[in-house]
Amino acid sequence: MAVTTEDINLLAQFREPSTKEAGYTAIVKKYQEKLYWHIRRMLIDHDDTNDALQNVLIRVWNGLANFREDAQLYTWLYRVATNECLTFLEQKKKKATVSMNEIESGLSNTIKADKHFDPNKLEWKLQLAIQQLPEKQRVVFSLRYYDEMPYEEMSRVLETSEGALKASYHHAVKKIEEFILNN
Amino acid sequence: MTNRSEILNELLELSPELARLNPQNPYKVPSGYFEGLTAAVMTRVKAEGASASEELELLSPLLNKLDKKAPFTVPDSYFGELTANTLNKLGKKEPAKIISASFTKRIFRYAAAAVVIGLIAAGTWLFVKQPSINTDTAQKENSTVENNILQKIQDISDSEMNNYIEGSSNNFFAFENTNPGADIKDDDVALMLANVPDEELQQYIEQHNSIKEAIN
Repeated sequence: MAVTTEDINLLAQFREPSTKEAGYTAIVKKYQEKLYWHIRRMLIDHDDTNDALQNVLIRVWNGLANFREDAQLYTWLYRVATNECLTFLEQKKKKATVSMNEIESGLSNTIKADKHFDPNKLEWKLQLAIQQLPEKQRVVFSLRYYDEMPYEEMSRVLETSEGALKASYHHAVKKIEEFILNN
Repeated sequence: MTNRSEILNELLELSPELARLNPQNPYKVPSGYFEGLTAAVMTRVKAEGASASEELELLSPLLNKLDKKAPFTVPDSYFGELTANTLNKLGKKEPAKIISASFTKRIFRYAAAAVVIGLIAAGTWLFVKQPSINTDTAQKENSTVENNILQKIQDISDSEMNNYIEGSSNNFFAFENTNPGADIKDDDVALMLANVPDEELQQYIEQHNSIKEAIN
């Protein structure tokens, strides 16, 4: 799927030295919320999300000139953001010297620590259910459920076959439904 | 059956130890797996080509009914300030140009070096121009002396020249330091540098700027 016309114009602005900053600003404003929520659903905490998002945006500044326009711009942005999230979680695991399971239960605790958390509300149960998933399956679920990303695009973001992604998503939905019904 | 016998006989020939093993599968299957397999596959078949919401309706009508807005809150004006904060971070990464506080001192030293070289060259020229009784011999001697002096000037290393100049120029800076009220006037600097080509000055400044930046 080719880059949209709007994104082509923004990329051209970015590549022109005299309008690079204006082009970059426009791209950030266009995608910042999508990227933020994608990361927030993975990392839960706002401060962690802000750190990761800023790292992503700096990578975008440094790497966008090499973007080949053979896929959607947002596909590339999501890939950078997803890798940043996975790296962040991996580093958190190394720093804490605890298992990923403990990191994931830590994320559940972060959800429960939110001042607006209400265990009786379905939207909060959904967040807890999502945290039970393995991290890559969490990404698949988040991209399909929240961002309604086509499997073809998701395949480019995660560099995984469409078939594997479909299977992963279907399993994720079943697990989440089961969690909600049992809690 | 015949096929199985052939396979077993083949295995026996290849590896009697393997043939003796009981070929039972050690893996377990989740209970109800095969009973639900057909339905699961049919769901996937129907979801092929469906939109995300159509697919979710097939997989879980419960989840499809939920409000997709995540319940997390975002600090006020976060998105409004995000671009500016990111650009600030990018701006800080660019190295700032450093303007040396001792720029005037270095210009002064360079000018002093030029004056010293000029004096040596002038002295040499005057020396070799002195009249001699035996003109031919004197001319040859003068030429040899001139070449020797010029060669020795070229043989002087930069560090030796710098040390000589610093030894002389420290007197100037001692004066400067003890007389802080005395400013070096632009006219004086211009006069000292009158005979120094602009290209050499620029090159000297660039060289010393790059060394300063490398140290920092």
